[in-house]
Amino acid sequence: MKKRWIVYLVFVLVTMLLIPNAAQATTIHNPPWADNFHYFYADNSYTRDAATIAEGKQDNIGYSADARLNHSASSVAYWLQNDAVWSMYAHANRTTMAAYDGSNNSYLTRDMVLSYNLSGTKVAVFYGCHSAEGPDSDHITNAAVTSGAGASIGFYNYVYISGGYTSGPAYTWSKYFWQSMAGGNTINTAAAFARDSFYQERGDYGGTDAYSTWGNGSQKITPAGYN
Amino acid sequence: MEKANSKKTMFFILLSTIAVLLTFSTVFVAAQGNTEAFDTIRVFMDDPNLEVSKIQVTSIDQHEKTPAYITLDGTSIFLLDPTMENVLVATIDNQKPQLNEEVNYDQALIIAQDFVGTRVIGVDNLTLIQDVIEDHGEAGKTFRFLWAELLGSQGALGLKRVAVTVSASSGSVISFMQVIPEDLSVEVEPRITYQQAIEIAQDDSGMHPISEEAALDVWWLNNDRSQPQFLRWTVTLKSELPLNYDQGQDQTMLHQTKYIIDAQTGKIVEKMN
Repeated sequence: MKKRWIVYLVFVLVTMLLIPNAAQATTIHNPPWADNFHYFYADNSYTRDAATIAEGKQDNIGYSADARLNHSASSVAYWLQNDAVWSMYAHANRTTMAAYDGSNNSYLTRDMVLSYNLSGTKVAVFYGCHSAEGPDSDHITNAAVTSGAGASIGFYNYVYISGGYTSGPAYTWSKYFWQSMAGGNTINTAAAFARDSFYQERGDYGGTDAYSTWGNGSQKITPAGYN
Repeated sequence: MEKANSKKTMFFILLSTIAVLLTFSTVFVAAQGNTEAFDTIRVFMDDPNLEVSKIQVTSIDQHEKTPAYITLDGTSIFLLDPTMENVLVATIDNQKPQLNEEVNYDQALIIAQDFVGTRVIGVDNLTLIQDVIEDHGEAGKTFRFLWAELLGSQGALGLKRVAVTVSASSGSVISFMQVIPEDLSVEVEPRITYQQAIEIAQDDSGMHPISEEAALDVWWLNNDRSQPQFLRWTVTLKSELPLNYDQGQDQTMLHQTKYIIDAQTGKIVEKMN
C-alpha cells in the first residue's frame, strides 16, 4: 500500500514538472525574436512602413525581426508571448488593440495581456489612439508591465497611424523611435526623441507628444536579448 | 610582347592608385563631416569633452538627410541638419538629481528661455504658442514650450519654430527641437477660409464628426524640404467607431481624422486616420 502511494506521488511530481503551465516564462529564442504588426484596414488605413522600418532597425542590432501583415488577435498574442521586442501599429482604445486578418476584426485586449507571462519581453509598443489613457492605469499598455514586461509605451490621446498619400505618421514615429532604441538609448529618451523628430519632419506633433511609458524607463533593447 | 606587358602593369598600377586615392578621400570627407558634427554638438551642449559617435547608417535609411549622433554613454541623441552646423533635435537624458520640490511653470519657462536664448538666434521675434504640462508616466512630468513666428492677418505659423521641454522633477532641459527657416516663398493669406477647409474635409470623409478644428501654417509639400513651401490648413475631425464585440472592454474607439489641405487651392494633400 505504502509503495503504491510513493509511486503515485512520484508520478504526480514528474507530471507537474513536465506539463507547461500558465505561469511558464517566455520561451527564449536565439537570436531573440522581435515582431512588428501592421494592418491594412477596410477603412484604407495602413501601417506597413511603420512595421518594416522597426524590423530593419531591430535586425541591425541582432534580433530575428519580422514585420507581420494582417494577423488575428490570437496570432498577435502568440508572438507577444515569445518576443523580446514587440510592437503593434493599429486602431486602438484604452483597453484594446484592433487586429484585422484581412476580412475580420479581432481584438487584443487588456485582459488577454494580463493573462500572459511577459517576463522575457524587454519592450512592448502599443502605437494606437488612447492605448495608455486613464488615471487609474488600467490600460493595455500598463497591462504588459503588470504581466512582467520590462517596459511599454502607449499614448493617452490620439495618434495617427496612416496617410494614404505619403509615408504615414506611424512610419515617421517608428523610424525615429527605433533609431534611438537601436542606437542604445532608453525607452524614455527614445520616446522624447521620436516626438521632437516627428515635429521637426512634419511640422506637427500628430499626437506623439501624448506618449506614456510604463515599467522601467531606463529599459534598453541593446544588446539584443530577452529581459 | 614585353612592352605590352609593361603597359598592362602600368595601367593596373594607375588604376590601383586612383582606387586608393578615391577610398581615402571618401573616408577623409566622412571623417571631416563627423568632426564638424561633433564640434556642433559639443558647442550646443557646452561640453568640449563630450564623446559622441554617429549612428550607423544602413541600407534602410540611406535616403535620410538628417544624420543622427549619440553620446558614447548612450544617454543623449541628436539630429543635425545636412550642413552639420545646426542641431535640429537634442534629447538629453534626465540625469540630474531630483529636487526636493518640483519646479513650477514660471521657473520652467525661465529655464527654457535661457536655454533657447543662448542657442537660437532671433528667438525674441517668436511667439510662445504652446505651453503645456504633460505627464508621461514613468518618463515623468514635463513642461513643454513651443515658440513660432506668426504671419499674416490670420496668424499662420511660419517656418521658424523652437521647442524645449523641462523636467519638472529635476528642473533640467531634457529636449530641444528647432525648424531651420528658409526665406518664405508663399502668400500667407489663404484663399480658402477656415470654414471652407472644414467642409472640404467633411465632404471627403463622409462622416458626421463630434467635433472639428483647423489650423493654418506654412510647411513644405509632402514634408520634403526639397519640395516647394505651401500654405496649409490642418483640419482635424473627431468621431466614434463602434466595436463588434462584448468582452467587458470599452465598446467604442474614439477616432480622429486629419486632413492637410492646400489653403490656396483647396486640394487635399494628405489624409491621416
